[in-house]
Amino acid sequence: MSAPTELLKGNATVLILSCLARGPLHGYGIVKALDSMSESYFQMREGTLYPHLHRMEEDGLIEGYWEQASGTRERRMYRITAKGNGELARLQAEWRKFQLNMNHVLDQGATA
Amino acid sequence: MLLDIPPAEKSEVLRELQSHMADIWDELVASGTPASKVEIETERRMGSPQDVAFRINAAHNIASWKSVLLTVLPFLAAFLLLFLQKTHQHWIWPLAATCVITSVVSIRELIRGRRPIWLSSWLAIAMATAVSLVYQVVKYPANPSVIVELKAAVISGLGLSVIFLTSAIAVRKWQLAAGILCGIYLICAFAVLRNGSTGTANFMAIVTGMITQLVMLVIFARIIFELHAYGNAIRASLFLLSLAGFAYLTYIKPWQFGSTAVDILLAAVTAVWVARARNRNLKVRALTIGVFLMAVVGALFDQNLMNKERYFILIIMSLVFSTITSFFFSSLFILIPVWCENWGKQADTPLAIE
Repeated sequence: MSAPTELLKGNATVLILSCLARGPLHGYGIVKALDSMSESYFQMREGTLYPHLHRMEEDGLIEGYWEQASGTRERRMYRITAKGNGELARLQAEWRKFQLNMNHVLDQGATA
Repeated sequence: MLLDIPPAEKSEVLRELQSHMADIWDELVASGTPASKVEIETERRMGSPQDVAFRINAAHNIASWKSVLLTVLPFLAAFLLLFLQKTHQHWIWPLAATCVITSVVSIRELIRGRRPIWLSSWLAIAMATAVSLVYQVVKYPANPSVIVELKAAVISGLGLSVIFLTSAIAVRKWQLAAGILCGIYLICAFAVLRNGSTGTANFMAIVTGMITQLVMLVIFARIIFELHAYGNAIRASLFLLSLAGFAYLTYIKPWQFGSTAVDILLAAVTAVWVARARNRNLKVRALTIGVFLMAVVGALFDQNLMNKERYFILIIMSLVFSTITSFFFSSLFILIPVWCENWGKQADTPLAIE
């Protein structure tokens, strides 16, 4: 089972930043990392990924650069910036608070 | 749907998507997917090209709020300078400060080969304040007179011609036109500086000098923004619109607008609208509406018109005529890069996501 598309789109920034916090990745690598980190729950389509990456780069959250390791094809890599780290911390805190309160509401709804 | 972004950005996006598709392809082949299905599956995973292009266009075309703020800053500075011009005798110092700051930032961006949308208004105010500064310095300390003002205008225009010639030398196809234009301007300038305020000199300075300078500015905008790999025609037109908004700082003003705070405000609102528009068509629409509104306001604020006419119907007719002529001339100046790009695109085969 995969995450609803709208939920995924709405939270693409925090998901991408979480992947890049572990180290620089290219677009394909981000899709794969997200897939493995979430046990295939978050399946981000490439059509969603790249516009987000470019928007985040414009906003200074990530930084893109071209890299060609020996024997591999040229790839555009992305790394998280200091501003991106700050934004990730803010979004993580926001999500945890949301999750906690959501759980409270759901738990009370279930016991009613 | 095609990628509607500057050529260099388009090339990078296509390289990136092709590299991604090659990765998917390798993965499918390695997992034993039959050759006949590999292409179909790769296309399915990439999503529809129209959808991808639409989203990428939006991501690249809608400026961030930081860029929007930077785009608007020169308009705020112009607003402040207009206020100081009317209230303070020594407004030349803030004028000089604005000129130095915006020139340094603009030149830095130009040297780095970047053409962000905010550079349009920064470069425009840098040039407008530079022209104004030369004009003020040449005029000072003589008492203002027609002769002195005319000579000051011509000398400040010479500086503009040098900037234009420097930019045009780098582009082979504009070298001849630039040489001819600068030659015409030099002849006019010589006639004015030698003859003062005779009828011929006035004609040379105001008509020929102004027209050559407007053409120079349009070509300059195209060279700096439209023909650059990281620029486009919209940014060139936005540069010209900003110049029109800052027209009170210069003497180059063949249209009605460019002298009031409302003009600057309208130019600023148009710049924000253009920066935040999702695609090229919406940006062109924003520019056209902005120019039209500036023409309307310019006609409304034309004091001569109001004083001259006595009858309401004549005032209305004059307003309509004034708006139409102002819109025509200012469109001819501001929207030319956009029209030229449209013209070029008809003969060009656009690059789609493949």
